[in-house]
Amino acid sequence: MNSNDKPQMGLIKGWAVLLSVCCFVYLFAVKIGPWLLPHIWGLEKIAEVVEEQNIDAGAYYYTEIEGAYQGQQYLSQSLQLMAPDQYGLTLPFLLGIALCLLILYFGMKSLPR
Amino acid sequence: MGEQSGSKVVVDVGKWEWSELIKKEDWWAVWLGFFILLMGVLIYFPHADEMKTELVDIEGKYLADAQKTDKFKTIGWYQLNDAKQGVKAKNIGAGKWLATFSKKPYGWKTNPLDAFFMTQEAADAKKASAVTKYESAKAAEETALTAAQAAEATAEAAGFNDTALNEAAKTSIADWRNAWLKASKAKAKTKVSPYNQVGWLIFLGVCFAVFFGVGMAAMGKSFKEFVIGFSFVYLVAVLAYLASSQATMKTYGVGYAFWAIFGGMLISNTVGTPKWAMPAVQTEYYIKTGLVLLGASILFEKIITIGTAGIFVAWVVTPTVWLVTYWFGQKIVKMPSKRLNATICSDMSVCGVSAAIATAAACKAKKEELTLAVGLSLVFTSIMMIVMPAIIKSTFPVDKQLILGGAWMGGTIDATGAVAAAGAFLGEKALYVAATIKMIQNVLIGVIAFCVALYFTTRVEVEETGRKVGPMEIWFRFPKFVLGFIGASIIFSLIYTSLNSQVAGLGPAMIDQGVVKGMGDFFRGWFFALSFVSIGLATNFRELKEHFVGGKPLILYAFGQSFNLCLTLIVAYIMFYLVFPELTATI
Repeated sequence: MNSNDKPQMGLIKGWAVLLSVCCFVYLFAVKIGPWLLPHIWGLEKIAEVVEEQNIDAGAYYYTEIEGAYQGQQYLSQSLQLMAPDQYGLTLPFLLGIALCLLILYFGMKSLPR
Repeated sequence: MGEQSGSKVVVDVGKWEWSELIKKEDWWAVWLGFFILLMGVLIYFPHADEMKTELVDIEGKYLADAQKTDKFKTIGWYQLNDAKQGVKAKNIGAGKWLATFSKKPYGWKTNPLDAFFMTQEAADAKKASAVTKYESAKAAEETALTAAQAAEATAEAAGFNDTALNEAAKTSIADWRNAWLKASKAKAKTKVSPYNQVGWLIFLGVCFAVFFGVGMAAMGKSFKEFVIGFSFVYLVAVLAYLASSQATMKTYGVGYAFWAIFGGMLISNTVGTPKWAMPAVQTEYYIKTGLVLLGASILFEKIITIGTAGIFVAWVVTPTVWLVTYWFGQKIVKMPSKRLNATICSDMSVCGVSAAIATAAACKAKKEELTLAVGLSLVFTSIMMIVMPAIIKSTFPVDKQLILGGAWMGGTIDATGAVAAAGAFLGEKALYVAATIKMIQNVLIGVIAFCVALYFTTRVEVEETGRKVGPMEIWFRFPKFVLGFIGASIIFSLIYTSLNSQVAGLGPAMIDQGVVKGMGDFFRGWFFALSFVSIGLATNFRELKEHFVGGKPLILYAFGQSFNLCLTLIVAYIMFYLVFPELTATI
């Protein structure tokens, strides 16, 4: 781990840049960003949906999104009710997993040196 | 231990010593991660019987209605699902306390102080406005429900054999569901109460400092110096969460990882990282602990959620894209770093930041390499979140927009939040399909991280050091935290499946909505934020620029993502519409 204990610029200049960037970020958050919204096609509608459904568009992982749990429940229950023979560890499903592992095994083995 | 020449990457060489179990960062990450998970088990599992009883009662109430017909999903079917989703172990008192204890700053629009304080008057005003909206949404939902009940009763009277009546009932129920969704979201916004988060954030910071400080002390570092430095790292992490919780930033999908790296780099490249903060700049320590917690949410049973079509889209396309892109990076682009290549391949093909973190840690990538990979992912994610729904809306046939579109976005957009936002733009079904495909891809992180760790240990490091390795040497070099990561995944997958075999829905109630969301997730986000802040605080722009020479990472990412977009679309179409159309019809 490198430690850069020396600032890249003089202290006064450094603080000036730091504060300017913080001001710009704040300005973007409260003025520029909302102003840009209607000018980017589709983004305003996405913003409405995000607000209405309280989605965190910045989430990185499925556990941070309620829709993932609702989707899981909805889809698995749908399949179990209406196509039970296609749900669970069916032969094609296991084939899919086997294919994935085979691709990884042979793929990793043949990666270029 | 030794160091590779010319780099700062620390690798294990030589011999195994039992003292490593308490002296090495990897093992401490495992112990700390499992400590949190064990606490979760001890807090939530004594309540398993209550959850079980609740689920059994719900089944007793709605199951007969839910199974009246397999021609369409009845009102009872939806009510059964809704009621089951409401059973959450984390709703017990201890879970609520933990949620408050680990709470990140609240959302805000123009005044950053709103993220930390809300007075009783402000809460009352907000609540009053939300209640008005909820009442109107609730009335609309009740009207829609009455209409849906009438339509279903008419279809039932015909024995569910009249196609026209069935279709009318389906449409009516779909209208009710839309109204229900709006009402339930509006209801959630009525739960407003005053808060003062500052005290909790300080308390949480102190607890984290002690939690990680114990490990640091055991590893021979100064506990006092770590705790002092940690206050700074933690403060920047809080500021990163503050920025990510701002309304505009949420809309643009700019999450905490970006702000943590950006904030850290801004400080280190302007006024400089204070020397006294450096003992707490421990990127890998925080990342690895977070990854062990992440392992508990990688539950293998989830991959069956959307049947065979989903597994082909998420599990066959993803490794293919990973391998082809890696090959392209080595042979065509001639990436100077295999580790950067692998990290970019994972974040682009698997699931963005989480996969980048896991892969970077598994192959021992440098911090600048992880920063670059995460940066590329964040930029492309924001663009794809806006562009993909637009393309789907304007070019896909209407009947394929929700499922094919959802699967395409779920398989290609990196971050889950952006996937959900783009999916919700198209509709509820698109959101469900997209989020589920992404969830299945998330499960692949464990497999990919394990394969990458093995590949780099047995192939890349052998080439770099020129030494042959036997099984013991592989063990010495293997990043041990991966064992904790995989171990947590296997253990919790087994528990999840075993709980589900007792009563359907018990696994999600106890694991998803208990140990994972009610314990691991509360802390995982913080740990990743601390690691990203550490990366930023220890990185200067010059070092980062060196890794970007010739724009090779950008070319690699753009090629990989283009290939991913094409292959995912083709495979999703083949699987959902040619091979398994019956499955698609059920969605």
